[in-house]
Amino acid sequence: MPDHGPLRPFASIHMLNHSVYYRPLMVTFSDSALDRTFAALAHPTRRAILTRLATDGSASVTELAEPFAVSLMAVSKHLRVMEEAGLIRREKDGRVHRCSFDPGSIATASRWIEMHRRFWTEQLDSLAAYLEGPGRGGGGEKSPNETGEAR
Amino acid sequence: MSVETMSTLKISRTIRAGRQAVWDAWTRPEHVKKWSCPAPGGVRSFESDLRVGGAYTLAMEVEGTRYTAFGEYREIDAPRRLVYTWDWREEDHRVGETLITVVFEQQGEATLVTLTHEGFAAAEARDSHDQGWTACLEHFARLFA
Repeated sequence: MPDHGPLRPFASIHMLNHSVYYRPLMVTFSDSALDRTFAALAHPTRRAILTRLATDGSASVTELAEPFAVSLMAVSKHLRVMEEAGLIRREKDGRVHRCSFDPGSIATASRWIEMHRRFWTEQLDSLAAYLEGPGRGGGGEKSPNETGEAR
Repeated sequence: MSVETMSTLKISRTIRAGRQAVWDAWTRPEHVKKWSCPAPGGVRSFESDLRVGGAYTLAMEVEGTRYTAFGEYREIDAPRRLVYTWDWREEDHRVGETLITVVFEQQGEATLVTLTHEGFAAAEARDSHDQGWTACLEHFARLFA
């Protein structure tokens, strides 16, 4: 590691309670599964259907189609996209298909976004510790390279 | 909301340092190496060609596992705004090309850093929408918490 001139060795960060840093840093997600989830959510009708299923429990295809000014066939298509994305389950109840919300995919997508949120939060914490740490003088207009070359 | 708010993650943080200092810490390898890894001391290397179209590679090591972020600078407006692409080199961590915008705003003696990480979802997912992913997902997560 090169000498960093006016900067002291980065002792401050080690003194922070960084035991919470995300481990593993990144976990593996299936790209195609995430793609399907995000794509399936990217439609207001599908989100409305999902919200209804998540809130009210299972419903038949006809019941789901009711509030929308679209054909039963269009709703069926939306349901198929959501089923393939793992957002809903479809069960046959006699001759009626009943749909219910399947939280697994949402949970995965949510964890995935959360993982990046934590990564960047920790990066910013780390940057703050670096710039605000002992010897930094609490910021102000000071530049880390103020004794170095002009920029 | 617009297309840009889809699949977007936005995080802000006030840093008690001047804007130029924060910009330098964000862009200059000798500084980046000191802080830019969630695991203390985890940065293994940072190579950066800080010009529009220039590439950077940030290698980290966390508990024996290598994480290499890489990308290309898209906009450089020192010390105000930096835009670059972001992905992980390792197959296991790859997310596809995403875009990071960092805005540095001087606020008195401190600097407000706002980081936006966007472009997570598949292209198809940006076709039709009116809501941010995070809000949408949080909503559902709450329903099934």
